[in-house]
Amino acid sequence: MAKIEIKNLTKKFGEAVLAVKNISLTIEDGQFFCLLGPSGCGKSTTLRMIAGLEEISEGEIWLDNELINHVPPKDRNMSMVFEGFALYPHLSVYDNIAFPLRIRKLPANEVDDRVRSVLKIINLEPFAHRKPNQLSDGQKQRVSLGRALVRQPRVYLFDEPISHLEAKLRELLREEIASLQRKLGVTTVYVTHDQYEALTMADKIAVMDNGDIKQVGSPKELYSRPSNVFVAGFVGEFPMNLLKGSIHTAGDNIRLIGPSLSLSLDQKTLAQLEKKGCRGEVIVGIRPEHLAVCDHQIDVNYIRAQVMAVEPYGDCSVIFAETRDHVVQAITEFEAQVKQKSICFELDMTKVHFFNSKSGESVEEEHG
Amino acid sequence: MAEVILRNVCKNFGKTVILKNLSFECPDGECLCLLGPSGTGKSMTIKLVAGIEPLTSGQIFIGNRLVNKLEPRERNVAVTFQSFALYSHMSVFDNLAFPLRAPIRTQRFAPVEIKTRVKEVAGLLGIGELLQRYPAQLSGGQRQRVALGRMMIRRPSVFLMDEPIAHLDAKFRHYMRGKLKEVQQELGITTIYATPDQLEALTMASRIAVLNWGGKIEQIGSPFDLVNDPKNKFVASLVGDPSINILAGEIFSENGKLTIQSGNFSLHLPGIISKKIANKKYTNKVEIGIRPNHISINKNGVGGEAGFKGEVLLFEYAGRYAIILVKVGEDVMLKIKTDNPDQRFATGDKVDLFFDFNRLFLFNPRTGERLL
Repeated sequence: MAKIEIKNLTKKFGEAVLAVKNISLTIEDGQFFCLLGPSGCGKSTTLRMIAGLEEISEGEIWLDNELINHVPPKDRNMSMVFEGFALYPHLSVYDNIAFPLRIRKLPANEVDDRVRSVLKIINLEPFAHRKPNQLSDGQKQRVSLGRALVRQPRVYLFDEPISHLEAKLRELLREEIASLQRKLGVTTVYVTHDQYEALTMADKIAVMDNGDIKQVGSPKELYSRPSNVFVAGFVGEFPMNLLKGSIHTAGDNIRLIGPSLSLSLDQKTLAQLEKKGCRGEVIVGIRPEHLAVCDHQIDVNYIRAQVMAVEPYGDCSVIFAETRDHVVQAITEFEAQVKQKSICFELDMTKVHFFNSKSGESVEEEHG
Repeated sequence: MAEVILRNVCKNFGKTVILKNLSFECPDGECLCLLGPSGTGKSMTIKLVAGIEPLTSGQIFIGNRLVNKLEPRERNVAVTFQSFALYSHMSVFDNLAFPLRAPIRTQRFAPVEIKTRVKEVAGLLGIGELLQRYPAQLSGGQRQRVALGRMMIRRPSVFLMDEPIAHLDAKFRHYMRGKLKEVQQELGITTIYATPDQLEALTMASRIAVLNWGGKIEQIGSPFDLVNDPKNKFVASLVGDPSINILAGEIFSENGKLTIQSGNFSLHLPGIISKKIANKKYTNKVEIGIRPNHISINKNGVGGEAGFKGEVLLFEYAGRYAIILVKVGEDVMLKIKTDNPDQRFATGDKVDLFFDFNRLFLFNPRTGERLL
């Protein structure tokens, strides 16, 4: 059992710098939990406070029923994997992995058993006697993973463990770490700036910006129901298209009109917008895959734009098109020929999001 | 006019061969990407064209001029490397103006001319408001644009870029890629761009040269050529994300129909494919290549005609799509990319898979050449 509870956690560097601002989180036992955000958002600082490598300015961290604010790092029974591999160059793979057990003075036969079973898990049995400089980067990162596993800790902490590796290797290790975590079921906190890693690996994600938590939810919740424009723009391979418009009503005819867009709204949506304090201006959000190139004339639910570029992505292409106040991205077929300069996109109205233009908050009701 | 032509370029360090007989042409205004794993000589090629490294043999032409013996500064090229270093004690204006003022320049620029050019470049990159600031007062994105501007200011006839955005974080890499492409196309400057990242190559390049060890060009073509019509297994595996599934198998004929056996799972090829293969020379042993987005997946029993059976190992939700790792038979693993991420699969789910046979590739397992 290892449930982590973070209550009103704050980190100050000196008087002026607030790196983490009064955040609260619950990480359930066995969960793969991601802290996601741009650099400088406070995610690594939060992780380091959980590990005990950084002092807590205010607030509490609980591990199960124990307050661990003042427990030294070595007594927290957590293993951390860093971005750099931090291997001992003069020790073999075997000895690198055995190291944390030997300094704890475990009996030799137990050390051997545990190291061998870890070598099997990380698929490095044939390389046990190699030195780190005889290994590829991927293998090195697996050794540092093995060194974290061998201690059989209650919690794994990862700080951008694969973000500096090349794309193909990143893909491989991402899957290995995710599968391993599912298999072992050990509570894991994983820090990354890469939304793709977070979506594909995590059970739950906390999106951070500027020391604050912007949203906590499952990958699907963050992607399909972002609670503010920051999350909408940050989560997703492509940022959500965010365009400004204003509400015009004439009887039953409710329109949301912007410089290059026009949507038809129903009474229910209007009521919801008004309830959330949107009068006049609204931000409309639509993901690139929910825009369809329209070859016939439509007079509602459209965005008109000028094509700037079409980028092939391997299994789809992305159209970049300029509206009067924005660059819109839309997904289309890989082989699609976009010859025209003026283009019209039809919006999938079931997938449209609305945000308050002042606060940036979603107008949708919160769930759960 | 600045076409870049390499003819039989070789580079050795002592007995170590880095590049062997590398030849390609990059027409004026085109963006040619050199794509390959690390160690295939991409960076070396950039350095040779820039004149930073001498070549062992061969010829390099820039705009019809043989440049083998020319100093880097005489070649009229601008180079960027992984890190865009700025002078921290100089304002944005002075950073941008630096290449025009540098004492090694043969041409001297009047202050008025410098000012005009700085303004022009800053306007193009949207940093016109920042000219009086210092690098420390800029965001990462703004700094990158200053660095890019410094490269453009001399109006070089060729841009040479060696993984210019590899170290940036994911979101920002996406943004800068767009910006680089926009500038390259707007200015129409011939560009050679080295990267190990297939996505960067696909999105940036007019044409891509896929490099293998020793700078051997495996294929040169448009992004579409490389994805839809790869010449061999090396190219097929390098281009596409996630990577193409490659299965070792054997082809044999059963009641006049061709069947591929891979491990203990077998695949009956539709008649049309059988006919295509029948006319080709092939060994019994083949490798099958199928891209993750050309396999569809259904829960067992759902969906019409029977596909072949598998068991889900890992389901990865990615927002716009999902990636599913499926075990087929004992030791065969397939990766599937579906654009319906809301259809969830759990580890252990029994599933049916269907191949899009029109998209199937077959490779010669010995040479890697494509048979189909």
